[in-house]
Amino acid sequence: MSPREYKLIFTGSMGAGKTTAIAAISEIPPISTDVENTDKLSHAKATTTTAMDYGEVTLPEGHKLRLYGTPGQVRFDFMWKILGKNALGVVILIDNSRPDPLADLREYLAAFRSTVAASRAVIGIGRMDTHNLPSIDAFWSATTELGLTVPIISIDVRRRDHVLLLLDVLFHQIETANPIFEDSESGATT
Amino acid sequence: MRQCRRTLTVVGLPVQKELLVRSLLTVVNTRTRDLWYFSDSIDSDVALCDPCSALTLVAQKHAQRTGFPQCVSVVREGVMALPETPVLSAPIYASNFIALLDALSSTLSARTTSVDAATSAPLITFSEDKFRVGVALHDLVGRASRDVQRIDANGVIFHVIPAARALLLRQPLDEDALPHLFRARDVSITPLTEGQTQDLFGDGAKPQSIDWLLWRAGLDGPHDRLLPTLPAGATFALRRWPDFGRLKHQTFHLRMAALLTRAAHSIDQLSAAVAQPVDECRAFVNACALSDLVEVHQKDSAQEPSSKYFHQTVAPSTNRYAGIFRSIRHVLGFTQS
Amino acid sequence: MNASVDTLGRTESAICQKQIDVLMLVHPEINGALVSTIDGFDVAAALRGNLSAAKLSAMTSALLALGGAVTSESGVGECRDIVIEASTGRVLLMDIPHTTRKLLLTVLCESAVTLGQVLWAARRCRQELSRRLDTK
Repeated sequence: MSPREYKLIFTGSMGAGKTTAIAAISEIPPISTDVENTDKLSHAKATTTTAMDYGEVTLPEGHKLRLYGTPGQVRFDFMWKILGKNALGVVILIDNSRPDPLADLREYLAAFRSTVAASRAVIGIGRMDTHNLPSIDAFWSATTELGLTVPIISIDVRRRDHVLLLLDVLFHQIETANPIFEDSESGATT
Repeated sequence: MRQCRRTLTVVGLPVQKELLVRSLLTVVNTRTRDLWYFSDSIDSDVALCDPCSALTLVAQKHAQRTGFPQCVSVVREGVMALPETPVLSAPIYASNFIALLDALSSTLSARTTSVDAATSAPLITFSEDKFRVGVALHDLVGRASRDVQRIDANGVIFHVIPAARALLLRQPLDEDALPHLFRARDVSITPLTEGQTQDLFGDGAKPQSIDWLLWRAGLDGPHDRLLPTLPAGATFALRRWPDFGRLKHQTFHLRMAALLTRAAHSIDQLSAAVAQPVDECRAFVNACALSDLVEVHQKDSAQEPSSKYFHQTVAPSTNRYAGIFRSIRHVLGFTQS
Repeated sequence: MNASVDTLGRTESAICQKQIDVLMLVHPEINGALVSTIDGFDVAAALRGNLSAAKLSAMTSALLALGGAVTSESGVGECRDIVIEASTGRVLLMDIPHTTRKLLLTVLCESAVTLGQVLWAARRCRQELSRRLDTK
């Protein structure tokens, strides 16, 4: 079998931990396109991702798992479309300390709708320890209102075991929803 | 005269009236001579009864045998009360309620408990139920009282603020003590006084979510049966994924969640689909039930198992995902189930 | 209005606008120009038709950032310019050296013009911008 490539997308609001999550699992130091953030009024973070983060994991038999982090801000939504094509799955990271995390979530659910609707998504809510609202139930309602079913868990992306948990949940969701793999389905290219 | 702790239950009253009595008790407690608490047990000091209900007969027979509860007839105008019982008119007003409770305090004898004594007389008792602690905590949190409650089960003591779904611990609960806790035969639940509450916070007790404890009560409680509220022959679904970021789990629990959020399964169907013993499936469903995540569906024996496409015997060549995810899990060092 | 330390004030925007207006006047073969921040916000623009300064700013910042990642990975130093040759035109992207903050200059022109000519014009504009913003 010729080597295949699989693509996982990490998306979500600025500061939610996309770059950190990729760094936790990439075998290469992640390539980042972080630049200085000039809009400190909107977000205090010193830098922002403009194009993407990139990491990778080499799998047996020469297969490759490519990890892409998208920029968080909506003005870079053209990158979401480019990066999201043919993705095996998408990890949506939400920062619960932001002013309107539910609105943030709806934005990414809309941007990656086809991947999410195919049950290839997981949502990780960060900073719930210090900001417990909205609750998991509120996030769940936000997804079901859009006719979507997505696993939602609270996480700390600084913990590698939590990043692995996100992927494990995602994989179980994909396996259960898509029991028979077909070559024409998204997720792999030769 | 020293203030005593008394218990009150309802027999045969409709749900709305029971809810009214429960909330009235929390409100009038500062105005009654003794401290009154709601109990689910027929072994209470007082039972507010509907004279027309067959259950009232049971309560009266119990009272004849044991001396308790003191039955009180709750009646509308024109309806006949039970013979030789105090009467509480419906609709129930706080002032009448207080007057009744104070009157009963005078007549109730022998079985009193002083509120000053460090007591562990159980407020909630179960006869056959092996899930005492889990169910007691679940119901306590459901009632959402704002008072701090002291829980004593098998000598393991901790505190709960039900309205906040919070656990108050002076120090972490010992992991080794948890199975011992969950198998307690009796649970004592005692509301703290204002002074005791202040002392507790003064001692550095920190609130944390009680969700993990409810989950563990199911996961680490008895595996040989489902909770009493879960029908044995039913199928179960989950209304959403458990928050595995905060709840103890193994990998096969993720598979169970993935299946049960998609379709209802019986315990046997779930066991076959995830290739795990039924004990593990029961434990998982119990944990989800105590976390208010379970939806009970009717048993449909004609329905095929929902996971027929995902049985372990599906040939690897037809399930390419299994291979790739196995590779990714192996390379990244996931914990195996 | 005084420009704040972290954001480009009206003065600086005006300087940038003037320079790109001059660029377009002097070089009619250039049919669009844009100055933007490194993280994708537009500062000054002279664009034709329906072209969105906001969108183009975001895209050029992504492109230059990717260019920087490529040059860094390849060990050839910092990314200075990117030239996109398209079927009916050309897009030049370049950074504007500045002591305190980095800006980007984007220039659009027709394919008929020689690349050397437009590169020269764009680099002169960049130089002028750099000088004027620095001495402010």
